[in-house]
Amino acid sequence: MSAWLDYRLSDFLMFSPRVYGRLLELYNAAVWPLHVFAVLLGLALLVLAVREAGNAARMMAAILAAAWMWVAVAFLHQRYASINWAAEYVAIAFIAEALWLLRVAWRAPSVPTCWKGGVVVKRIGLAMMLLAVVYPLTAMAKGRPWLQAEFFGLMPDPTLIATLGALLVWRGTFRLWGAIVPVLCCVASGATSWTLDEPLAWLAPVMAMIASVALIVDRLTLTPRR
Amino acid sequence: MASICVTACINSGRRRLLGAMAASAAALAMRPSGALQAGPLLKSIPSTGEQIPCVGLGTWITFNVGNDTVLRDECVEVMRAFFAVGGRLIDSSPMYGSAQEVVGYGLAKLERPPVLFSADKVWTSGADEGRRQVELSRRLWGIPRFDLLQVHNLLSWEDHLATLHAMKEAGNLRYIGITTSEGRRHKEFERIMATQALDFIQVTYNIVDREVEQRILPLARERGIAVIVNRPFQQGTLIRRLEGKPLPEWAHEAGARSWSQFILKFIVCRIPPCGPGWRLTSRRFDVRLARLSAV
Repeated sequence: MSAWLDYRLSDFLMFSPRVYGRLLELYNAAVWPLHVFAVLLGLALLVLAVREAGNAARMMAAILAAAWMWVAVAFLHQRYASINWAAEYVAIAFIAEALWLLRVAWRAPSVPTCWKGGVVVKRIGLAMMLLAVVYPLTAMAKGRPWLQAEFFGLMPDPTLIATLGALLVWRGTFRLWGAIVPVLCCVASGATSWTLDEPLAWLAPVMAMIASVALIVDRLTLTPRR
Repeated sequence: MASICVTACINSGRRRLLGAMAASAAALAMRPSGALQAGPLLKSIPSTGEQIPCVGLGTWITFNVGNDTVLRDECVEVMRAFFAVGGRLIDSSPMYGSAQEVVGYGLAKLERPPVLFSADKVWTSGADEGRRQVELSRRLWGIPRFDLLQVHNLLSWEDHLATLHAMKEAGNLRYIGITTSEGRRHKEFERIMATQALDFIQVTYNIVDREVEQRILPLARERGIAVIVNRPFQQGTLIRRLEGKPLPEWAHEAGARSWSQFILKFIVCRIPPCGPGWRLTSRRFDVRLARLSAV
């Protein structure tokens, strides 16, 4: 363990920004036109989150589970791991989160969404989900070409942010367990972006921080409603 | 005596590599004892006397390009240029993502140049896992055996040194070494250098990071261990800091035509073996180095 403590964050950045950009570009080219489907799924997630219908949470969890599984296999395992061996471990964490979301989908009738209690928290959640849908626009701010844009359901960061948003929309103490992997992955993603010297490196960690605070405050101050 | 090889990570690709090798050749041209000769500067490995060019090819970050065939072919061109100007030593590690695989891809494309001096590392916990890793690395390179294997950052060094010594005795390895970087675990590094039979060490050394001058380089000289220097450009930071700044006249006197050549020249001049002219150059660096702090 002490040997690992010798390393600095930058020691684990084993690829250049150019290589990572090319990786995104080739991945996007390979999965096109799934982007259209991914955007529609993101919008569907948002619509479901606004509704209070009984099946909304079930469908949201199922969409998110599929997104996490896709990102784990198609991006992290098949692409990103070729330049970052740690991505294999992240892929395992993504699969674990996908399984957790599937379990939520299975138990959905007892996982309601609620506007009446914790309105502010829910609005924050909706805002995060909206951010996940429009996340490809951040490519401009990052100085990347459109071919390197990141889409919900296809890439980790917007999928993480959408999931945190969904957790804020849902009610119940179980959400804290589901937040662990997204929060940690947001921090890791921010650290990677920071070492790559990317603009908006703060975005995912800040979303994780907001979600964590909101979940904790919500847990402490509000009684779950059914 | 200690020998040196600088493994320059060539962030800007072929141009900087050729510059580095040119710096090596320029350094050779300054040798007071000899006439100009073709090819890069050679230095001896103390344990055998074998000579290798003093500038090698590092693969950290730069060769980790995954399965991108465009970028892989760019790496092949860098390797082609490296061998064309007389380079031999390529250094990699299992820690470097796809770098080993890309080196293997390049070697296959270049029909496995016989001059290759293959240097890799073992970076895992436990002897059994270490043996498996070395075999996997060998297959990724596509070579019958490594010239040099080093224990990367001292991870499980007791286990791995035993394995490497056994491989060397069996004729499956020519040289053994240990590595560190960025000043990590220097005390333990010294202890291993003082007590174990090593052919090579690899440390971070450049015009700014000079801690190894105090104890490790003298110990290498005393123990007859060759020295490989990593991070000569501080992963490009030094070059970026100096970019756009004019090269001082006295750097031209030292045989450098660019900052990258100057930085490599500094390292090559600081470590023996060197003649009187080299020592003079080294003193010039010492006297004038303070000026760099103003840059």
